[in-house]
Amino acid sequence: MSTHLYSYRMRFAEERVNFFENDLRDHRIAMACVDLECALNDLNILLAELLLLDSQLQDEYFDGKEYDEALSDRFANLFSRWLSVAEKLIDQADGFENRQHTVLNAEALRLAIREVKSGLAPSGSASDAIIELRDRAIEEHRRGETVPMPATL
Amino acid sequence: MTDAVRRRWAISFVFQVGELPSHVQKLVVTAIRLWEANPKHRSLRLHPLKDTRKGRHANGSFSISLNRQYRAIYVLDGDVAVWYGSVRMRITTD
Repeated sequence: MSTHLYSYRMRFAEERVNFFENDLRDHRIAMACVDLECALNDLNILLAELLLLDSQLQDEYFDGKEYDEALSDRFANLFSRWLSVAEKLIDQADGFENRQHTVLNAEALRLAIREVKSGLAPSGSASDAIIELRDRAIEEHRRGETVPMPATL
Repeated sequence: MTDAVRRRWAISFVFQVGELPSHVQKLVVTAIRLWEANPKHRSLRLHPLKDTRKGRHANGSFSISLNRQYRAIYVLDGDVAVWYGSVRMRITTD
């Protein structure tokens, strides 16, 4: 076989190897992205479960259950740990998105992270909208336009 | 806060609460009743809200937790607590 023919057939083989290398790399990236999407979804579901449990506990406190500081601290700790994991995974999602991948469930988790942060740090500031509502409420009250707590809503 | 504190609802608060899911409406009422009985009950997580800017009035607001998702807010005007705001912390799905 002539050198020219070897060269031609090797070039063809190189192109095939290149194809498999790229395909493998893309496949690995795609699979990593799918794994991440599943993890983000699981975290969103876990948060919903935590919030439900927390809400049930709060209901019981309102119904007269004695406040259990240790239990409440455990909840706060769980939310903190959830937040820590969520922030790490959202960093990974950012990495995929910076490479033009779409990461399902990432936006929902970003919202959840912001909300959990707000929930963990309730000593927040009053927003402009809250201050405006407050001013209107005071003025309504001074005009005698507020009402007692309604018997039914 | 004293035992003499009375409470009133701003009309806008009545409407805001009316638009909340029914289980949260129940939380508002039970939380405010608990606040009346014991404003320092730990589960309410009562705390003042810091103003980011001055409004038309100097009165500061206070927030209580209904749960980790919802807060109810009031302002003291003399010895009257005027409830005027409900804030939802979680905004994804119900």
